[in-house]
Amino acid sequence: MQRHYETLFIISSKIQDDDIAKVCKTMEELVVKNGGQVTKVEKWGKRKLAFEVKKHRDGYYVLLQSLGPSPMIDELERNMKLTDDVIRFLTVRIDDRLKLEAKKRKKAGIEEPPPPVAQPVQEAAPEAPEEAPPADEPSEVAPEAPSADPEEGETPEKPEGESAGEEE
Amino acid sequence: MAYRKSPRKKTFKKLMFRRRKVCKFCADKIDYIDYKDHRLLQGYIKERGKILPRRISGTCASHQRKLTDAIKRARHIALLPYATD
Repeated sequence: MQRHYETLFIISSKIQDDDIAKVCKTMEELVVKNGGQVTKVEKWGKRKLAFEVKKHRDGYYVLLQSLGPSPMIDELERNMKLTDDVIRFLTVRIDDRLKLEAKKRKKAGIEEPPPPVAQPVQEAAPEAPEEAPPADEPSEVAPEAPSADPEEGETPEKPEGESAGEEE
Repeated sequence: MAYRKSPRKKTFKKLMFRRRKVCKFCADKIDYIDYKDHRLLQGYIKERGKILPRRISGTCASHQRKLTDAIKRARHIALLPYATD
């Protein structure tokens, strides 16, 4: 069963920027490797932490929204635990929240924005369970098909409270 | 909502009048309190990081519960402090 998750994790600020990007990429790939897809990635950049975490006073925040089966998140979290560069993480299920937002949007009569296209990482996992894409859309192999949103798993753009690269 | 009896103890010094504050979340019809919205949440914690009680902040019971969850999550990922000096 596909579920929507939101993971917010903090990457150590003591490593190089390239490494930070690498860690980010690794996590995204993990999602895909375990049968899910990345629906949103937000890099908040370096932020001052409210308290010291593993001898860090600041960290690089990344928000990752994903859609996938539950074992995927277990795997993702397991990896985060093992990765030294990830100093904190928090995963939340956001199915209900997304439903609420979709409802609000419908009420306001706003047009549903198309779900964000999955990351360019090659999606080997067959995301067939989604409903068949509309006839006019030629079913390309990987990148397009998973974007077709089923009724239950709508992933609209969610206005976040934070903007990227914010620093207190 | 009933207000508490003003002097809970025998002394009159602790006379507390509770303004009939409206729950901000109910007024704005917000269902989901985002743990990532630390600016919003900051208005509900004391200076030392403690969570404000309902009778001070004026939130309604259901929103206070959600608020508490959000604050605790935000604390976990260091968007809010657990305690400050």
